[in-house]
Amino acid sequence: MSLEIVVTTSRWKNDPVSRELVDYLSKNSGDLNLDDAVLYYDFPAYVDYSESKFRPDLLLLSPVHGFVAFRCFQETIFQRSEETLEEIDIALGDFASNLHSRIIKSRSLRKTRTESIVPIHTVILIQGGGDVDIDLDSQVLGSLESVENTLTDWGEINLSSEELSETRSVVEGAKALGRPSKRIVKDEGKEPLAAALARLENEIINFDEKQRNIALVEVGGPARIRGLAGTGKTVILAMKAAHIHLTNPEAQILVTFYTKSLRSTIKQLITKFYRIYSDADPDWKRIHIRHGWGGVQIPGVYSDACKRAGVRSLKFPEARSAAKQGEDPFGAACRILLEAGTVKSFYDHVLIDEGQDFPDSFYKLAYEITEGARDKKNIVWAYDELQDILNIHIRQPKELFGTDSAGQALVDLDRSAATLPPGATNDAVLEKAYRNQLQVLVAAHALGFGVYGQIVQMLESKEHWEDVGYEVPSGSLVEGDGVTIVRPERNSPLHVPEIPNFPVVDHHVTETIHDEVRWIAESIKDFLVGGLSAEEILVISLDDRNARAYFRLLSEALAFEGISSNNVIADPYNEPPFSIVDKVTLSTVYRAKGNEAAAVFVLGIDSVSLKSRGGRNKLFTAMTRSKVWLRMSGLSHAAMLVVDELSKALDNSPKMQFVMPNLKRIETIQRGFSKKQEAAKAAREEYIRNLRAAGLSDEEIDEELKLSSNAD
Amino acid sequence: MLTNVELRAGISRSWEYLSRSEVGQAFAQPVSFSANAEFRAKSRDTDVPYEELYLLGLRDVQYNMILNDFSFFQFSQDSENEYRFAYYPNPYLGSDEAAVSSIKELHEYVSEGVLDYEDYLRSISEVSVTRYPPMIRYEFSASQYDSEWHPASHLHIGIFADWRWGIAKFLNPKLFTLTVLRHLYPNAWRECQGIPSGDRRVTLDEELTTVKGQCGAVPLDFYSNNERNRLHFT
Repeated sequence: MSLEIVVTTSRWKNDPVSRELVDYLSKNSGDLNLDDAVLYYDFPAYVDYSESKFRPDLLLLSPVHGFVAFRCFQETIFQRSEETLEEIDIALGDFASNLHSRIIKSRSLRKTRTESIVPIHTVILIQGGGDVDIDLDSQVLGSLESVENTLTDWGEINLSSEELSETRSVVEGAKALGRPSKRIVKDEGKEPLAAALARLENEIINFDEKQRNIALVEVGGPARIRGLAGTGKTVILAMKAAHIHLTNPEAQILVTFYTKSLRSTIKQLITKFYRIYSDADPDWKRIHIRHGWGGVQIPGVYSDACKRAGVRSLKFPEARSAAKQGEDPFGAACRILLEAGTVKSFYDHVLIDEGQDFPDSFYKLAYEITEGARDKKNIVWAYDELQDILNIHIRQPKELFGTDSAGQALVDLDRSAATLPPGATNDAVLEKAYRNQLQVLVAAHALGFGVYGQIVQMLESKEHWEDVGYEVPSGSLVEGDGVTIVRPERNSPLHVPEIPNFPVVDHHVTETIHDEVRWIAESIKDFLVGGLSAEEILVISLDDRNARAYFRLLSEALAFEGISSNNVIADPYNEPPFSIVDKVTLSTVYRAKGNEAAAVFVLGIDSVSLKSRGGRNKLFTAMTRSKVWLRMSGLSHAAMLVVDELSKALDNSPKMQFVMPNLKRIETIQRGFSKKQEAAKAAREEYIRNLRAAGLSDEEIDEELKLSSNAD
Repeated sequence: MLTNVELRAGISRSWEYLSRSEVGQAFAQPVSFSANAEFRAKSRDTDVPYEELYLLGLRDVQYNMILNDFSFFQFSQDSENEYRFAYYPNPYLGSDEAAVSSIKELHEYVSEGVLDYEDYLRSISEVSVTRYPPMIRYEFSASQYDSEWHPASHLHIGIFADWRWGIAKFLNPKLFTLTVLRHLYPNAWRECQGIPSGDRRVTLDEELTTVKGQCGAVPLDFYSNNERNRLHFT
């Protein structure tokens, strides 16, 4: 075990005094009884209505000592400081009050109505000084060594691992993800679906420590976050934006995305995270949530950059006709803008969601509009190659951002990793998927790859399957050999038991659109009777050509049953909200990306080409929108083919079994790690396997990993 | 006077007109519509231009039904003596012949698989006309009735709130929808193959005559002789 260090801002590099204390606590963590503790740098920051910010340099959270908030100075620096000792003490007191007010809200952390089980101490460390003659609430210490005595003097509180975990989730803002109001289930017997969802919501810790760590740590340069649907990429980016805004309110932040309907989701998430730490709303002049392209009525990264560059933005038909062969119109628009040579840097931080959907030239544009030298540009991009419904090849940073005149990659994650703070990574992979039921995710993968039909794409190696949360008991992938892949429950931990008449997955194949729509409308009615709210139901049309006709008929069928609907494709001008209270959502797969619902209907499955990667990716994306229930429907033989694969996948779940195809003949999804990262990851995975074989639990393994990563 | 049952039936029948004449895109809400706080506030704010109000209504699904040209209808009722129907035209497409035919062309591209749905929506968003039909609202308000300045049954044409055209009839949702449809979507009206009525099929003109006959006259208590002597709709 070892002290976990979470460095959340780049001020770290210019703060030798705090670094010295971190070094001291880390090296002496055993003697100081800090083995299970976590030490935050520049976190958390609380902001009140007057926009005053309260933040210590370091916050120690120890199950033995509780909280210790430090401000750190050298005697000589302190002499020049503009703050007096009394002011520092008052500010630490304000911070402690803010922290206490959050902790006390948690029932399990409350001792009495006003007292929590986690004490908050404040320390002003003035190395080489500390001899003061003023009565202060904070402890004033003059040396690193005196920290040990002080910790001992305070005595031990010994929080349980559950209490520590709850305290961490409060401090780190995970509470922002809870439902704003608790679900009320009047009669579990009559509303079995609502009861099941209520249990699921209680169980959800859908923002685990690894995710929070990625969100909070500022790596001080480019970084990539990879993960499948439901691993929390959007949530991480939203929390990152909120956190950067809190710690550096003047920083200009861009959060960009590809799917218009994602805007309100991102805005809500950022607001929720920000409001955990602040009494006011975020300053939206500083945080820009922008669609990549924008439109006539809405600003976008491209159109804003055009304005700043003094270039007229291209309309869609112009971009389409300017596109070279194989280039998409948006890619052409960004390329032409860059060729003008007048793009100006503007943002201090650029966070890109749905990175898999953006063309290379957009990344190059993102590079140009981000302030700083190449390895210091704060660009974080999240992507999921399996959700790439536009059929873009997997691209590495060199391809995305391009090269300089000497042929050197402008963005190289290995190169910029040289200056990472302790415990940080600039290339994170998220294995745990919290959104989907295990069998739904396994079936979505099976259909996405085509393992029970025609395999159109394949992960390149056993290791890549492990990256996305599977185990490969059959060993290395050898062409022509049988392969067995299993998804362990720990990587899809949320589970809803089967409810009579409401199987997790169901399907309907028929001969007419009218019959298909009728089946969906009746099933939706059943879901509503079972206790779901209308907004918890999402209908995705995979059939673009007939989407308008499907939704006209379905909205009519629902309306005749007294059910309202929100057709998100009936708005070409805005970035419409994906979910509206008391309305069933109707969407194309494109607009559904990044969103989710308890019950998902995927209609028009017959329209999907099972021989193409794009077609199978659409199936995968649609299926993985479902938190619990999945319904699939379509017409005739073509739909039957999908249903056959679905049935096989469900029968075999949590396994997938297939014969390894020739990778040269099919599209291989590359893993995208550098050799150095690959070696490090392989060693880590081997280590985990050994620990698991030695009988350690997942929690114990997590602890061991923290130990080893901090030792690095 | 309009009961809640009549309102609901009128909304459903209105959708049938729009759907059968192939101008309806989605039937979002089958019951009385209640605007959210933001839409209500912007509706009352005279500094808010029509385009802004329209975009907000579109974004937040502040409508009962939306048409293929992204115009929409609202039908709302507070009581049997207080109700309101509204048609919000799309200010970017209007009824412009060229714009309408370019949308039809785009629909065809989508159904042929030449254009994907997002590109279709983007193409529409870039069409912009300078002239478009006015917003049309019908209101019946017994509580606000003033025989000199505020007819109980009246029509607003355009966004200006204090311009009320008195009407000597009670309108219902069906008559309102048919009137808008006939005036602003004449091609669809002419091409409509008729709609079912009981066990037979009638033309939209026949339906309009029937529906108009169902709308009773506003009694003198709510429409004085003085008002009838002025220019008004009957």
